[in-house]
Amino acid sequence: MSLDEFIYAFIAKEENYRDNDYIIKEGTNGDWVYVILDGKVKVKKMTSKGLLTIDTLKEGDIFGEMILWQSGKGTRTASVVADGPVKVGVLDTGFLLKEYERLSPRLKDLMKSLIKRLGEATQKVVTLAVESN
Amino acid sequence: MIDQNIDVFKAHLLKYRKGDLVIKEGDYGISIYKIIKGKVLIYSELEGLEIPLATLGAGEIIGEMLFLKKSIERRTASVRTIEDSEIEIWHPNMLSKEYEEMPPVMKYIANQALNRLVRTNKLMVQLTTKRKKEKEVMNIDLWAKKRRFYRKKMEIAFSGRQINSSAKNLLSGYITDISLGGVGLEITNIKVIKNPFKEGDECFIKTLLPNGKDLEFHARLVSIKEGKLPGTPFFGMSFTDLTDSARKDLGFFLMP
Repeated sequence: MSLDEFIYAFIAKEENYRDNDYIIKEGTNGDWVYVILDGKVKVKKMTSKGLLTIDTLKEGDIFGEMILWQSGKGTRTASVVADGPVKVGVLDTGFLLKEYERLSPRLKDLMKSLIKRLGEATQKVVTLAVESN
Repeated sequence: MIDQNIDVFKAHLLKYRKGDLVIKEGDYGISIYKIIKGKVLIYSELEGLEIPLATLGAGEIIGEMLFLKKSIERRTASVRTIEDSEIEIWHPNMLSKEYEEMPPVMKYIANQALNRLVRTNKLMVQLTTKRKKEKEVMNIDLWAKKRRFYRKKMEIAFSGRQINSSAKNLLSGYITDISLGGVGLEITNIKVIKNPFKEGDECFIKTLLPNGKDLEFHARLVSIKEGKLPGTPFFGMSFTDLTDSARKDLGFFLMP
């Protein structure tokens, strides 16, 4: 998916990172949601066998969005690390949440369920990957 | 017209018994489901293997992928209840007006989450099948180890050829022990056409049992050791294909 125009309306500020910089650290608190404007990032999770890369995201991809569906102050479930120089847009979380609140109850259910399943599926894949190595 | 229809479509509540199929992978279907009570298992089927993808409970939505993709495609996974369940069924038209009005940024996030979920599920299927295959190989190896405890000592001539490669190496010698799991071969003659034998190679072996029965089988090379005669190898082999009648003949032969 390419970066759509409307995303820019949600960008509060832009940040630049160098190769291997941590943008999000697993286990820390934070409620920013990011969109990649330029470059690539790796999503990594800590396992009993060390850091495991679970996904690579590119321009236009959003990350950190799981925080929107966690009740209370969220803990990051994975780390996001720059893969080469990266420029990201930091999205206005309050603004995003307002948009979410405007959804019909059914669509809210749908979004919540989708994000929850993605989180659980990711956790399961990590467990499988660790066990099979 | 369409707007009027939307009002007509109401959510239906259906009751399912434990074990009922809700969605069948490969079917065409457009409904979206919300679990009100109970639990369901989402699973995929690959080469006869059932691969569990997720267990979902009350409040969660299933069958939404095709709706979000806005395409008429087949269901990508099956769903069955693992408890008595109550499930609400939504016709996609109930959602389409709401979806049209959904802020683009929410659509954008929903689609990204969906694509990632599809990717993650594929990875889960790959990893699960890989693990199941590894387990099978491990079981064969366990068989090979067990074989040593049930073997019968003997010394009868055999001849054979390699079957898993184009090399078709030839070999002959005598069987020193045999069990229902495999054989030990003392090799006296080996004709290597291309690559030398290595562990994992498969051979076709033919012999005549002392009770007068012909015995033919396929076996996999599990270990190569030094033979009794200098410069000749000893092969430990595990059966990979033994017909029922061959197994029976061998069984009689092995009886004490």
